[in-house]
Amino acid sequence: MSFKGKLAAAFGTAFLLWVCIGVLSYRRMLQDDQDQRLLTHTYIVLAKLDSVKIDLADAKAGQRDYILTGEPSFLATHQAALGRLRDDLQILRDLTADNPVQQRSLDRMDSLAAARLAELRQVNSVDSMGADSMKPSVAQIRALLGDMGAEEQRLLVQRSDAARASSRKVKLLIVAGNVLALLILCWAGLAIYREMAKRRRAEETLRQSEERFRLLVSSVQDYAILMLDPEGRVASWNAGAERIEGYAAEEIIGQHFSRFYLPEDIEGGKPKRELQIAAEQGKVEDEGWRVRKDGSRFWADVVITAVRDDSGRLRGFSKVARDLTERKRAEQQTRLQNALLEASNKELEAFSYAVSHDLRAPLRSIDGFSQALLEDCAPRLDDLGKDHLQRVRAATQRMAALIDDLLDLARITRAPMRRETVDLTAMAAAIAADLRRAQPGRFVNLSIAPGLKDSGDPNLLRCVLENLLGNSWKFTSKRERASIEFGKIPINGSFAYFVRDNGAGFDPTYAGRLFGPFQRLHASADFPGTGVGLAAVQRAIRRHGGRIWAESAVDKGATFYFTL
Amino acid sequence: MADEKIILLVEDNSDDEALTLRAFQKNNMSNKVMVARDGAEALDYFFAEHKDGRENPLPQVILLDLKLPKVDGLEVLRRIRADARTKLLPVVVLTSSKEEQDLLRSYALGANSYVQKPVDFNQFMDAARQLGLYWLLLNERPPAAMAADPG
Repeated sequence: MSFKGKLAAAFGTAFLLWVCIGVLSYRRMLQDDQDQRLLTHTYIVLAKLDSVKIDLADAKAGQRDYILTGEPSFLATHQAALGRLRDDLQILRDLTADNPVQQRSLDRMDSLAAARLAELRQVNSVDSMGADSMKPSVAQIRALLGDMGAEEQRLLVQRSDAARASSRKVKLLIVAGNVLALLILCWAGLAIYREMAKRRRAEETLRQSEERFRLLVSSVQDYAILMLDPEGRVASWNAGAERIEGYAAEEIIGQHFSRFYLPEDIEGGKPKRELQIAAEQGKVEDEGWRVRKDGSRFWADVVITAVRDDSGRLRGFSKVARDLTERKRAEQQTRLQNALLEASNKELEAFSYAVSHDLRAPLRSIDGFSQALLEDCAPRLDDLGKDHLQRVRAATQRMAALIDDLLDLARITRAPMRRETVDLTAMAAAIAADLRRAQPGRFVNLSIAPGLKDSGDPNLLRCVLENLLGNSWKFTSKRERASIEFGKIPINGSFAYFVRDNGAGFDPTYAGRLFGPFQRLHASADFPGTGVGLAAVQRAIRRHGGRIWAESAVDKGATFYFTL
Repeated sequence: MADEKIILLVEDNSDDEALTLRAFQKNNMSNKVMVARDGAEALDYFFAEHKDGRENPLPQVILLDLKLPKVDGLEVLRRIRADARTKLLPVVVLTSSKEEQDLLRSYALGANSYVQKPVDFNQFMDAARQLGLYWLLLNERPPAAMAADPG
């Protein structure tokens, strides 16, 4: 039950109790009146019973005096006493109409009184009066009157007992009811007190939390956090707003927020439009140039949110803004650099395209016509001349190979990168199979670690493995028992792939030149090559964000490590 | 002469032209070789209006270089494929480069084959021999009626 409900129940119960007590008291009062009337009634009956006794005595005395004196006034007294007796008996009958016991007694009394009166009428001399008091009728009348008196006394006692008992009960009920009602009210009072204390505490907590919140908002430096009224006038202002927009709180509160916008935006109705969108859709987000107090511009990221009360009435707007000028500049810088990079890539592409078409054609002519010379003019050429021409042809073919490698290198640098899961083990196995097919006579112990999978560009990774495994294959060509290994080892909490061989190795002094294009650490006569392969490998690895390095000593084999 | 198997060589480099002809000759290919020295000449071969209304005979195969003066090889290919009379002609792109973009565009435009000219003349000879063997002897040209059918 809610606090209100409990309180209503308590007050209701107390009120009901008091109403009951009132009703009870009123009914008790009525009862008291009734009891009082009955008491009076009993006293009247008792008095009347005495009157009957007196009437009878008066009747007898009058008669006696009349007989003794013959004075007619005594006869009148006698007659009057008889009349009063009749009246009194009638009154008694009326008074005790509700009591059958008394009625029956009265019936007997009537007959006894009649008998007594008859006796009295028969007495006509003083002599006959002498033993009057001894007569049974008189005794019976007295006894009957006594009984009737006792009956009334009994009724009196019974009624006052009942009245006392009822009155005691009512008193008890009134006291108990009042105490209960008071207890209930005390409880209600206590409950109200506690509830008020609780509410005071809650209000205090709320006030403190609001205070904290206000401090939090006002102390935020990196965000301008402000409230606008429904018309767009600034209602609150924090430190961040002051820092970003340049106005102190007292300068700006009450001013319209459109002054943060560029003049052309104000002319175009942007501030108003943004408030309208926020009011209609709940909020509006915007990124754009805004104006500081000193007129300078900053790139702001702004969120305006409509603030509504519980009934949905628009109370204003919250506005949170961030100065992203630096980021914007960096973005512009990046965009510019990207554009430059793209342009240079385009240039490189055009260059590659031209090289691919135009540089090869003359080589083909040189080679072709050298061959034609060898064929068509063979009789006129001595061996030295033929040898010269063969050297020309070999050089053109080497040049063609260089051009092809150079184009591959350019392609690796500029080809779009895509990432997918690449099965390096399968890729290395396929390359090894190609190598074996190309030189079936060689004995090479080639071991590839199982289950090597990584995310990367399959074309670039193939270039990496082809070159590294191809190099190992090439530089172990002078070993009788060549051994090449491809695997993965833990390094500095991470891991690196490696290609290890027991081939010719290289002098670590020149390790820095390994990855430069057209750099060679071996004579072409010993190991053929253009010196482009490792440069391409390094570019491919770098495009994955990885690193490549090598360890070796002359004649001790070489190990190339790379990460992706 | 209608059944004579003509080769149309579209080649701007006179050295390459000479070497190609030499390679054909060395391989004992005696077919008539028509030479167009730029893209415009190649298009003229097919589409130029002759005074007597006569049309040049359709070649058995077109050997098409890509990098050509005036109209480049890809444009020539596009125009050949766009015309009802020539659209089914076998076109072999024979060029110096094997740049990915060239390969893609050539095949996209409907080239039947793509061969990079080797620098090594011996290899070039071999390529010419295989091309001749395949496109002049082994391969069957689409029938003229079908070639003219716009469907």
